[in-house]
Amino acid sequence: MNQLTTQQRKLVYMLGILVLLIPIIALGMPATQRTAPNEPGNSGGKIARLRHNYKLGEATLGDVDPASATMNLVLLGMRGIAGSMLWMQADEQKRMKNWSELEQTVESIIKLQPRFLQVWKYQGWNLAFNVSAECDAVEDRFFWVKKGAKFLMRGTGQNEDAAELYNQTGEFFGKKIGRSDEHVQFRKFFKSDPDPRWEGRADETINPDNRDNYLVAKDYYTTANEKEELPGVEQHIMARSLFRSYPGRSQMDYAAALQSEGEFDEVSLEAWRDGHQWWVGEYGRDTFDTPGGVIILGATEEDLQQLAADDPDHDIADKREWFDRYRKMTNYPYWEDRSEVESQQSTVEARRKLAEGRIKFFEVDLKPARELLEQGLNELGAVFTKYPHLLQHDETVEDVLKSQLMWQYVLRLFGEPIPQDFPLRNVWDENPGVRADLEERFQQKVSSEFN
Amino acid sequence: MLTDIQQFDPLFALLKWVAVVVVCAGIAAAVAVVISLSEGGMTGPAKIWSAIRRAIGDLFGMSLRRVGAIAGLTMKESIRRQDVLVGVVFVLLFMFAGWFLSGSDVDTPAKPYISFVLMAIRWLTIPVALLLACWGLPADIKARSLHTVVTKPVRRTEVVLGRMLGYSAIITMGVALMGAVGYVWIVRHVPPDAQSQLTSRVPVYGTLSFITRTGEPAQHGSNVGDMWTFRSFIEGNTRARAVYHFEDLDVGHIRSDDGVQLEYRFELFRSFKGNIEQEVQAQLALVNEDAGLRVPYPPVPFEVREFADIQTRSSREGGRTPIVNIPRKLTYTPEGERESRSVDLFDDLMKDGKLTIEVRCVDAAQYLGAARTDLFIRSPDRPFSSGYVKAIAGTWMMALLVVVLGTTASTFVKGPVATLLTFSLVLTGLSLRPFMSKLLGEYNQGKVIGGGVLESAYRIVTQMNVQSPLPEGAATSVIKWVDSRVFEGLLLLQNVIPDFTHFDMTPFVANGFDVPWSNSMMPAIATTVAFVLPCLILGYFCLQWRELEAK
Repeated sequence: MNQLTTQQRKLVYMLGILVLLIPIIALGMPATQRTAPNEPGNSGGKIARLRHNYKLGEATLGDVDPASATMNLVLLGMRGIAGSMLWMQADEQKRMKNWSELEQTVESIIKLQPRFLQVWKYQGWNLAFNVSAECDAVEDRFFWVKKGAKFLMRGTGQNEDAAELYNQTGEFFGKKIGRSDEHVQFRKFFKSDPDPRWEGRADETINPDNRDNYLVAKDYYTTANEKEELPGVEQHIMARSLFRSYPGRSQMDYAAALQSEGEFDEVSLEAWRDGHQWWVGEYGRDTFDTPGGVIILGATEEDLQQLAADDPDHDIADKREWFDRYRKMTNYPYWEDRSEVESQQSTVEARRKLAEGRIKFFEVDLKPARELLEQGLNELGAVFTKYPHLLQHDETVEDVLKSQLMWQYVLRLFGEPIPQDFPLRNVWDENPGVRADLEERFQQKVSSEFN
Repeated sequence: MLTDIQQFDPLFALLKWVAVVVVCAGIAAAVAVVISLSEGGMTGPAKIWSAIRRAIGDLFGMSLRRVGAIAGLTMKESIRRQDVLVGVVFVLLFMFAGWFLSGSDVDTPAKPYISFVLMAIRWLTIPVALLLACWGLPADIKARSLHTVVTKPVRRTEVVLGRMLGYSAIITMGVALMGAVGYVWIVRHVPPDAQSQLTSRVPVYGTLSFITRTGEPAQHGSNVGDMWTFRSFIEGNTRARAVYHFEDLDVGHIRSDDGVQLEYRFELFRSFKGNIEQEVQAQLALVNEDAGLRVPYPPVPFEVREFADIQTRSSREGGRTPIVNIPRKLTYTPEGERESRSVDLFDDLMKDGKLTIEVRCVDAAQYLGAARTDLFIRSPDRPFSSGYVKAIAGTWMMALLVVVLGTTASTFVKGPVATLLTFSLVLTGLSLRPFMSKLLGEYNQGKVIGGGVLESAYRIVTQMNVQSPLPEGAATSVIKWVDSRVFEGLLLLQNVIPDFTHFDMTPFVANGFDVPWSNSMMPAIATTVAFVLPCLILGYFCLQWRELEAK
């Protein structure tokens, strides 16, 4: 080598560079831009293909935020330190109730850690639950619930395959809006935002089609289930059999909410029917891996036999055991029967009468109130004769007991004795604890309404 | 949200400055005498006296023309060295800042935008000032270009002061430019709904005391379990009150539409859910104890609208700041009387410039939280530029101080070390000064468990825990006396490190307040001015004694 001239050495170096470039290009050439979310880049070097296959690339995880990428680049290796400092800052701002700056700090955190699901979950929860609870006005609380939900929605955009985030977003729309202390106001605001900008319409950024919160939640749960089915995607927040039940539960929550708000028309009936159909037709036919092999929650005896026959490792006893366990864990039979019962016109009619009876009661229109309550209880009693196990459920027990308390109160006002045998007497006798609690609340409500 | 308002006492500050300068000069003189004795024998002190006399001559014999010439050359040199290119970073930062501030989100209030601009200007100015001031003189010494200056009839004080002024002029231009760009950026980027927050409110604060639920006067209200003890709470529908005392009120200054405007920002705590569709209510009472007047206002309790100023348009009120306008003529019916009476706000209630305002929470078993800054009289607003310019001036003064410190450091150490030293001073002044003050304050209040240096040493050696009292006796008295003197010395000497927190006026401007002269601008000006003369003298002596041949 030492005998080579300078020019020759340069040529050798050049050749060496060219030779080394070949494996570098073969290994490291970037993939072409993907055309669809789940479409793999069809070219690129080995590393690019591996990155795509193992979902290690930025673009394969979801939208790439240019600001986020820039920030990470600018910070060189200091992202961890900057992230920790921002988390501490966010905690301090929360402690000092400095909400607007807290929100901006959270923005900075997600710019640094856009793929860290816990950031989206924790800070989304922080905004929607902790910050909103600090506000006194219900409108302000809703404002922060929306902030949290919007935050999670952005999280799903940047983490397209994160089934957990979709599920959590569904929970925000379903449970936070539908079941919190302020659920009456929140459900109303979800369709008619108090923000004057929306002029009485829904906030288009979270509810563009002006739908019920439970239906929006159902969409997110459904997407979560679709993502969960993708190869390589796992969720770690709950048992898979429970995780997949959420769309159906949300549909039934929607139907129940309509009825609790006094809607006993075709819409609520259809809502229950859709719920039943989904529960039995979709969820009931889903397959779950259990220690006893694959099972189906809605399986008949023949289905179980067939599953056992197809599974060399487990016999029919295993199948039955795990089938029972999973049905209990998911409360499958209850929701199957409940949705079936509620889908019947007679049940809707019974519930309508009970609801109208209560309204008449508080309007001090006692005679029709008594008749409606009596009829409703009788008809509901007839329905539950076929499904006695449904009477174990708290929601139903409360509904029946409230109506019975009101009906008995009216009888006493009329100076009539309470008959020994009245509709759904077994519910009355079997739940003394719940009854006492409800009775106390009923007395308080009556004295506050009528005094 | 402003959490605390400290009053600035110029006379006390001046006395403290004199004390610190005297102590530091004394220590320096003592050290110099010892060194001169060891180096030059008995002639040493005479040489020191001669140097001091020369220094006095150089200090008072400075020529403005020569100082100006050096300052001009310093500016030219800085521009030639392209130190000001950091401005490019500034422009880039502002071009892309919208990405990081969720610029499209119309719910974002003005606060983050203002904070961002002021923070960006501050943190871009510090490195420029550091690089300019710390590298100029050492570079000249290294290139031996300083030789041509010092061989001219130029005093060393003029060299140091000229450098400081030259760098300060560059910094002034930079800060002015960045401030102007920042102002335009804020006005353009703040969402339309939050534009109303671009204002400079002028608050007049009172003092706060409490009345307990049983009617007893108290310094604090109830604690509802909030970790942040900034606010104290009063219970609703009891005799509990938060009482604001305003004194020395100037009617001409606070008058607004022939009345007075009050602004509040109370916090609420519900001990039970109650009616969630109705906010907790409060009512004010304007009190003149001397005249026996107690006028409830407004006549009907109002909803507190907690955090209403933060949300830009979340709810009914669309994020407007909660305000109570009190007209001059007030009519009310005194308790136990049937006839209504009329009173004049200025003539009857605010006699002698005093006014007391009592706040009560109306709803039973709900709580209202109040802090001193939660209720104030709002004088007529000033434009946003008023507070903004003052905040920029704060940054400018901070940069000047960095220049002064950096130039001084560069007279006795090389560029990198001077940069490190000055930056350490800046960081310490920004982050550790409040901690130091808190620590020393706690000792004065007897809150430091385990005592001072000697007491701690004694406890370690004797394996005594920090809770046990020291044994009675002369030794304990001596230990305590020495520890107290050490702490007093530290309390004084902590002022050698400039308190850079005085220069941060962002909380005022970002929260829509004007920057007050008395307790924000004055401390900043005083801090900057306080360091100029000592640094000039220190820089002079260091440059005087520095071996310029040593690169």
